[in-house]
Amino acid sequence: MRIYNRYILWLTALFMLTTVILSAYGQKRLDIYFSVYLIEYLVLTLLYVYLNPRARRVLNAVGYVLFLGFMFIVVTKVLEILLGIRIL
Amino acid sequence: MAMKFSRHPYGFLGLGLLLAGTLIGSVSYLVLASTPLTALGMSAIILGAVCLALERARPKTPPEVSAILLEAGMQNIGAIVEELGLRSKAIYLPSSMTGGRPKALIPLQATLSGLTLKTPLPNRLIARYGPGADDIGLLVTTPGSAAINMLEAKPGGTSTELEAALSSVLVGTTDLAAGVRVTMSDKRVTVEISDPSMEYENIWFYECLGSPLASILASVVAEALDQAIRVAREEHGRRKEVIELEVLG
Repeated sequence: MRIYNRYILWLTALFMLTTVILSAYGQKRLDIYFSVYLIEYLVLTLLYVYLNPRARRVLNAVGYVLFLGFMFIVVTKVLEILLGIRIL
Repeated sequence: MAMKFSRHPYGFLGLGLLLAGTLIGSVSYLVLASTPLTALGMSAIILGAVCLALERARPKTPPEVSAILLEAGMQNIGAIVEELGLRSKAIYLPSSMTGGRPKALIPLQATLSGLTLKTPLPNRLIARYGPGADDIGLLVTTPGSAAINMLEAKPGGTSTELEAALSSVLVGTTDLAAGVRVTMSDKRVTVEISDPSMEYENIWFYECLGSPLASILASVVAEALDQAIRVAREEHGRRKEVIELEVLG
């Protein structure tokens, strides 16, 4: 359980730090926050390579869902550029 | 409720974070129009999803039950070894030498220096490993024998591959240590374990087969090198344990 606790604590600390730094710089775009969270999540999960196979499988599933969210942002941005309208 | 909470800590934490994140996120986005607070809600939702996912990955058998089973198994083997008056150190054999899973051979002779087997040992408790009258030993299943099944593939024989395999078992799957470092020299494999969660006990089982940590290491190394292994030395520090394995063969 110690490895799970460490993983959650690291993820929480990274997310918190990101929120504080980006808000301190006056960042107003939510997609930037989401993209940074996603990168941090993927990197940290990759670094915890020794998690047991079952944990890695379920964390990969969460990663796929987050990546779908990222793809949604990308598609929205492309449509905004192509159509010249603001969607989000 | 308290019992349920202690049984599903990540589940409750995940559910709480999901609910709080949804509430904070939606109120911040729709009412307050605050991006940082909405991002905070979003991060809480992600953390909640991670906690719920980890809840599904938790072992089905509680650690306390595993500890009881391990102790019962160790005491049984220890009682047999003591009753038979065996004084020699166990030799950990790879699956190729036992015809099944890796096991430990406790020979009758106290001064067995090497072991060469032409055919795999029979899958019995009392096994004959040589032509001599005294070439008999106890072939027992150890904690390490079961730990081998936790690896996805047979590990390679280099120190890096061994370190990866041992970290996967000790750090990732069983949570018995915080880190593992392996160094190899001629016929010696030295493993440094940081922050081990099992304490060494001065009992005959440990003297003969090594501590459960040493047993897991010896089984994994025996399987990786495909050679017989003996626990040569165990050094116990406050937050560090050094286990030296001797490669026989």
